[in-house]
Amino acid sequence: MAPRPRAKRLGAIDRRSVHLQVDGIAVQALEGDTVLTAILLHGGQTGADAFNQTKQAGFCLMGACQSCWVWTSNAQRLRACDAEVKEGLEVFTTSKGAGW
Amino acid sequence: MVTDGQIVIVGAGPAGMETALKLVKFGLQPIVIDAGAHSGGQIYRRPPVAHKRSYRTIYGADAVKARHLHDAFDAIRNAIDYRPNTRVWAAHAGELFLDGPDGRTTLTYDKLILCTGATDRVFPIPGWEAPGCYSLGGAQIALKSQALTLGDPIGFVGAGPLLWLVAWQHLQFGVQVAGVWCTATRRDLFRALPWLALRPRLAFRGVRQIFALWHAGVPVQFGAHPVAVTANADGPITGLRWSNGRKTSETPLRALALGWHLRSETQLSHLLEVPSVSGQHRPMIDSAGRSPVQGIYLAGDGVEILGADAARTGGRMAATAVLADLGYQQTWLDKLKSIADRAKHAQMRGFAKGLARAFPPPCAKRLSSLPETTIVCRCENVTLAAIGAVAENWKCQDINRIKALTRAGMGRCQGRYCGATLAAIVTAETGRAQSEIPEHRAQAPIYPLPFNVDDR
Repeated sequence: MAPRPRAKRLGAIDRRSVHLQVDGIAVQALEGDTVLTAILLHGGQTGADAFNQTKQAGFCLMGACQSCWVWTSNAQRLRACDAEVKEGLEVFTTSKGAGW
Repeated sequence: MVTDGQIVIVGAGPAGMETALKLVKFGLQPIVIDAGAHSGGQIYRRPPVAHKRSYRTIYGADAVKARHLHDAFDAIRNAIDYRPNTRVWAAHAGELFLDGPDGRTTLTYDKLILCTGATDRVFPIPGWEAPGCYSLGGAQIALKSQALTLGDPIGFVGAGPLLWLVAWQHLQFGVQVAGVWCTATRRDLFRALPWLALRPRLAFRGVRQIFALWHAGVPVQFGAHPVAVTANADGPITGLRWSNGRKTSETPLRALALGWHLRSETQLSHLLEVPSVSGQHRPMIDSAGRSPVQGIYLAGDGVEILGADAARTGGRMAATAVLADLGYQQTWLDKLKSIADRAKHAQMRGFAKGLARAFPPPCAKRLSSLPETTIVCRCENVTLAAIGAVAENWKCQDINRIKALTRAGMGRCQGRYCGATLAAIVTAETGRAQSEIPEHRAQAPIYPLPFNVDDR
């Protein structure tokens, strides 16, 4: 089970819901959320760093630090902080999950 | 008759937007390249269209400014070639290399105005690689653009106006602020007062934020030293251990945001060989924003950290310089406005000097005496010990050599989040002033590029 999420919404919840899958688990987000927002709100984390395998959870949120990469099902990399959620989007927090 | 050639603006924050606005007034049609999905940059970042929050909620005291600038830029959308979601990843004289919705393309320019903005200047705290640590800018973006707090309770550590602003904004949203640990001392702040008095309203706003935090019962520490970020074995942070020189204690947290002011994004100006001001690591421009390189102009926080208002006057000044160089005649009213802009700009530079004095970065000695296992380079996991050994054994006086030998600064952020620390370590090891140390050289691609077998 995913741990209790650390991030918390502070309003602006009057939006359409969008459904995506993170590592094969169904996640419900709202239109306008970034992939990182969706992941953080479900207690998840993004890809492990390349060295000590500790998971990451974003850092700069402005597309500069590149620590929040996730993989799509067609093995593309996305910056979770500047990619908006889309209905039916499938992302993986490891390259293995994406079939590499 | 003047032939204008192609004018390209990189960045659509306050500096880029103002530059475009002024050029359009004279009938020019600049191309505006924006890494973001919507214009506004970081400070006037727009939330996704689906959010229906008021300007007042998102931008607070800057609501009117944000709205005016957004509206003005929206009004010229059809007069310019605006390209959102597009990053410039390399450049050489006369040509930019773009990565955007149309895949990878090139773009030639005759006049280039770089309005590349800034990112957080961060320094390491032992344990800061654990998930749950963010930059101050990141915590603010979560609030403004995603209506999200990264943790509740959340703590803030660092120094600079953003520290207080972001903590205060979280308080306004009803988030529990576990503490604000300012590494600058009250004495630093008082000594900077004469400069801060140059913009009394802004200075007063800052004091009010500090007071509001204190009044709400938030533990506010001046002269604090972050000792370590504590974390669970499985990762996420659990708290901050800090000291105020007399005692050490630990405060439980679910997120921590850190930052010591900002640093300019200078990669493009470096790639385009814009020289730096001697003894200072910032691109050289004249009082109007012209660089010594033909056809290249700079404005905003990407050239010197002066804040949003100065980015706007800087943008207008750079546009005025472009127009003058293209042979456009200015009316007397425009000339008067330019004089006013320059005067305002000078005042803001004075104020920025005050902020730099009020909120100095952690001292180099303190950084280099952190525990040896502290991770300096987050991307490549390079520890302080590894960097210290190279600096000492190889008599390294250049962060570019340290990069070559340790891989610190070579990772996916391209040294954005460790460069300041590397420079501080070299100053501590060599006793030389930071200004004497060679700058971190930019390398293309300045952002990692997706490389797809099937091109989009």
